[in-house]
Amino acid sequence: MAAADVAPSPSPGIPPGAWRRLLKNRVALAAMSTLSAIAFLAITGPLWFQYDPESLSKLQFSPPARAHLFGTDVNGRDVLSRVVQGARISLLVGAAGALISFSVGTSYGLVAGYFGGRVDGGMMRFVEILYSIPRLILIIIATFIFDPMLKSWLQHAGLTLLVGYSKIILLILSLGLIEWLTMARIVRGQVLSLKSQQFVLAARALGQSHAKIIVRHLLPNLAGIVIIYLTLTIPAVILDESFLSFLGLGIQAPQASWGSLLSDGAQVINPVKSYWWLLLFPAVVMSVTLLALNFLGDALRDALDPRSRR
Amino acid sequence: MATFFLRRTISLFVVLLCVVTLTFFLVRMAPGGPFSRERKLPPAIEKQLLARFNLDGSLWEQFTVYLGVRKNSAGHFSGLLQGDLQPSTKYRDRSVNELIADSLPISATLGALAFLVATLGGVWLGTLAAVRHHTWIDTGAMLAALALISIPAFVTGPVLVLFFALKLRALPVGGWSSWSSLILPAVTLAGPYVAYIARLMRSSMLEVLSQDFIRTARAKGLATSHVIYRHALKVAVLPVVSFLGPLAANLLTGSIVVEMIFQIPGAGGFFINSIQNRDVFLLLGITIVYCALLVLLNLFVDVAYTWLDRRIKLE
Repeated sequence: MAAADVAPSPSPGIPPGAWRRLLKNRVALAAMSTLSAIAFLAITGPLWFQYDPESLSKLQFSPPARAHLFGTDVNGRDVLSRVVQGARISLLVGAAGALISFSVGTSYGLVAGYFGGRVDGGMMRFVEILYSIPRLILIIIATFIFDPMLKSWLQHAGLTLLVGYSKIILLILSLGLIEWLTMARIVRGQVLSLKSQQFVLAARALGQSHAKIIVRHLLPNLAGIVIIYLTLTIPAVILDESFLSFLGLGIQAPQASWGSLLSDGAQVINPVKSYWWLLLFPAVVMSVTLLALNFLGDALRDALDPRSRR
Repeated sequence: MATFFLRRTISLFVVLLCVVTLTFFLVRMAPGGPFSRERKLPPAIEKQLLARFNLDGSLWEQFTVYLGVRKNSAGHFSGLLQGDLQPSTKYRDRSVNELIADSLPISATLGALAFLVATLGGVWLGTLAAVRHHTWIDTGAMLAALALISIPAFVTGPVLVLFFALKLRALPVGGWSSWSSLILPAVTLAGPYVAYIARLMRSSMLEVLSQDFIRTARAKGLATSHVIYRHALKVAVLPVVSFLGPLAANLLTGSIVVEMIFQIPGAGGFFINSIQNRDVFLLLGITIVYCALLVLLNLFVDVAYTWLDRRIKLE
């Protein structure tokens, strides 16, 4: 591929030709178009589908047919529009959670790596301690306990519109605040090697402030690795959310996320009468999305870091 | 070595103390106590119940009683320090110690089996893919790995049940009766981690196979299998070893879902129940035991790492 004729980039930021390499990668293109299609449907879904994902009807467990392409569930709700609503919530939680983990992880890693020494030692010891706590267990405890608090707080603050979304807000916050550890480690390692390079020494010799060196010189050089890891954090957060919703601790009915839909589907698996469409469609859509995100992450790594190509 | 163990032991206690404190105050500050149900208890009875479980008094008093540094209502020290995890507030006649002693071995068996499947399967698959680099075996294995990572356990679980238990009738649907009922849960739990380890193993094996000492071994005329299993594997497996700590953590939480799918009476199900019932002491007990297990496993992994790679010194 084109990797060989590109001059080696002096910095490990975004190398020249990365975008071109990415667009030449057919798998990456397929992944990106799949993701944009799913995101487009998730955002504009309510405009297209005639059924409301939360409205009940008498048509229980109707198999896929022209009226209901993905069939209906136990309460006669249209599975297709529920899958689309699930996409909206799961993608929102995934993207927002990943963004939070990105901001926390990057700033933490930057500060630890840049200031080094005792600051670094202390900050990384803290990360080590957090690493050794079963995080999903703490999330389960936290979401369950803070949910009523957040609800009453939102009510008092006059944000009644948001009360129904308190679980989603909590999921985003707690998942985002818990998934940043690896990001912080990666960024710190990168900063440690960057800060001894000559352009940073030069900037320091010119008397630039710490803040300016971090923002102008270090941050752009971290872009590559951070983008790769961000793409891989989104599926991780989506999986965590579905895990919680599957256990009945995440998104609550009548709202739907992929995890809660799959939990409904898994409950009606039996040999006598199988309502396979309740499990199959959410499973396929979710797996395709996660697969596309993981493929994209791999392709980005190939494009942004030509040396890692094999 | 001695300082290493000293430091890790101190850190173990720091972690556990943090977790105990955090969980205790989170659970106790939340609205709704262990005895507030839909049908409200008469205040006098509720007060007496709270007193019996040492849940009256200030939060600080409750906490110190739980830790075992303050006398409880019966007049002696009986808490965490003494190894007493208190009675369950839901299953009245049983102590948390008993509940955990009954259910944890089940979860641990499942976890250990999944751990074996994940490491052995992953190392094998990754090595195979690396050795057959640039063939369809490599491509196929890596595609399968990515698919396995992307499909959550609560999809693979029911699908496996549908196929192996309900269609073929080869294995039990769930429960915890015979060794054959272990197979499906362990495979479901291990699936994503087989894939993850295979990816790790493949890239590190490819790296090792391009190194000089492998070329020397080949030049000496050693058989390919000898080169791979006797020389390359030992070095290439190191990244996998450093993943074993996080793997244990993931299997611990992952087994909660798998226990729900296959109706296995392990600690995971008790954990979820304890949250829904606000069974304070059971919730605290399971969380503490899980954390302690995880910290110990991490310590074990670090020791194993230095044993495999003598260049690394414990400090």
